[in-house]
Amino acid sequence: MTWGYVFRRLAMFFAVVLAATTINFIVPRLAPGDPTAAVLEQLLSRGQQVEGAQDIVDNYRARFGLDDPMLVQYGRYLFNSLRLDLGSSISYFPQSVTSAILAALPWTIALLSVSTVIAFGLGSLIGALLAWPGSPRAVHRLAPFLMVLSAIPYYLLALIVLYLLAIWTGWFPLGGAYSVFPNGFSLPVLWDLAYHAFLPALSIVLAGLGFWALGMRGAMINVLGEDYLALAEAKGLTKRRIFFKYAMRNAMLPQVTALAIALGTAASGSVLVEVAFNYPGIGYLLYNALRSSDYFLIQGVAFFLVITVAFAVLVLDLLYPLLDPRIQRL
Amino acid sequence: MSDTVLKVSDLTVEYPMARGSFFATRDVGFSLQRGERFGLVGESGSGKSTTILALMRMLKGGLVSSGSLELNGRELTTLDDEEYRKLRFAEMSLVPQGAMNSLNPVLRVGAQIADIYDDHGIHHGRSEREGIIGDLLSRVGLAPEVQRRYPHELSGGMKQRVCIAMSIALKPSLILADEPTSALDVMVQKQVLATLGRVQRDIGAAIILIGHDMALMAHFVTTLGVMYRGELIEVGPVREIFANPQHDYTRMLINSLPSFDRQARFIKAGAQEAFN
Repeated sequence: MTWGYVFRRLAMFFAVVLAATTINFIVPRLAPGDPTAAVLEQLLSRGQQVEGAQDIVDNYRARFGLDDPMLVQYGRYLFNSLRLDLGSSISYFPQSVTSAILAALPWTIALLSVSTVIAFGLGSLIGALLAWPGSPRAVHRLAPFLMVLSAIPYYLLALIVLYLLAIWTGWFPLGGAYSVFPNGFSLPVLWDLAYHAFLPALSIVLAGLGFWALGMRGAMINVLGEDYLALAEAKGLTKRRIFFKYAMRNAMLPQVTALAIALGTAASGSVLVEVAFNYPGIGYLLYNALRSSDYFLIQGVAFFLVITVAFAVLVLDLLYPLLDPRIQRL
Repeated sequence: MSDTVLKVSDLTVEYPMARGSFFATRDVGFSLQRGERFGLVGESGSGKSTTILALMRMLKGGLVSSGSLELNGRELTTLDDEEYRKLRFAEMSLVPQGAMNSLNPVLRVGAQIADIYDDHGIHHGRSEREGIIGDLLSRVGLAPEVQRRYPHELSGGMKQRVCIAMSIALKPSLILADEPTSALDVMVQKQVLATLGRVQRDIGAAIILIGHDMALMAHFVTTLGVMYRGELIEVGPVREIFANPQHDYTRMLINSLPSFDRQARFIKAGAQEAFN
């Protein structure tokens, strides 16, 4: 791996973050609805009498700098984003956006990374076995089932899983991430966390499984036709070595590329899963922020999501040359 | 110990199809002595490659419906798959046709040679293994350091040399070479064929060379077999076949060489190299 390659990937990372920050700044301001007015409406809708409503709106607008010229707001936004100062949340006021996000982020990262890794690994293995001529017949019967599974969206699967395993059978909790907020990691605490995370993770895994399996199956079929597979067999290698080191090892390459793309989709797709299971992660936070037109929180969540995904892609990009030596030349 | 390395008798390979079977080879029979060079020629689809694949038990979709294959006095058709796997490259190796794509792109050359030892139960220490692989590469005219390279860093000729090095790793008594030079340019073809001939002589293995270049073939092999539509229509010492072809198709193949005399001189120079 050359330094030029690393440098280009890093430059790309920062370019993506900058572009995302800019879009992040513009989009909410194009949307209809005034955040301060929205807060007032919330108060009014609860039947509270608001004295001097206009004063409050003006006060809020001044405090959040909403009356400054756009360019000044943009410059301030960029500078503050750099310091991870994303302002105060309107709906969670006086909590800051950063602290609200940092409270939610670990839940999402743990849930998403574990379930994505499981879906990716298991799906790829099943897909490879689907294409492998020597695999048991039972595996081949999975193919139509996986195709159906890959066509069902995350959130619908979440509802089905919720109905079957929580409401109907009562085996798993209806929602939430813990019984008692954990303060420390002991075995019972971890057990409780896993117990609560099981259903959301299951729906993410099930939704991703078909996608990874079908992708891998396609890649594997291509690899199985390659000359180097025939030579591997001719060399008298064991089936096991041919499967892992010659076939799967090569068929994984397009899968890893797809993983980089899928991470973005996974992050946004998890929003609805988290809402369905009342899981206190980023998705749930974003859902609440959207409902209350909380500009700063929406921007903050989007900002963190972009950074997380861009970072994951950066890591994958830097790992990729280790998987495919041919990439070093580019 | 008998001097016969391989005895193929009545080999018939058929591909079962919806409407009857397609016979890729019919009653093919020949035998090879220790160190003998046997050439198989014939047009595309004549059953040359099928014969070799049947020997390796690597037919995809086809099956050996009758006949016997005897390697070093052992009947092969009755072996189970695991016994066959152990036999591949240990007793009978293959130099593949597609030199450009025959190496795994994500493994270093050394690792791909090491695989052969690992899966045939041969263990070495780390530096010992490196030395053995280095030796092997030197024998085919490559630097020992090539083992640390990836396939995409090698030229077509170098890749084919790596494949030749692999084929002699376990010193088999038979090498099958399926048009080993067809993907290479003419000058490299001659050099690679010369290398193949040299290492084959070194380890004393018999070789079956498949090819379509009659002239190149004529100077490499001692015995020639001509295949036509799945049948071995003519077998004999290469000189006799050229001097006195028995079959119309053989005559046609020989006559298809453009201005034979001139080409023969040109080839002789290359073949000299192949024999030395």
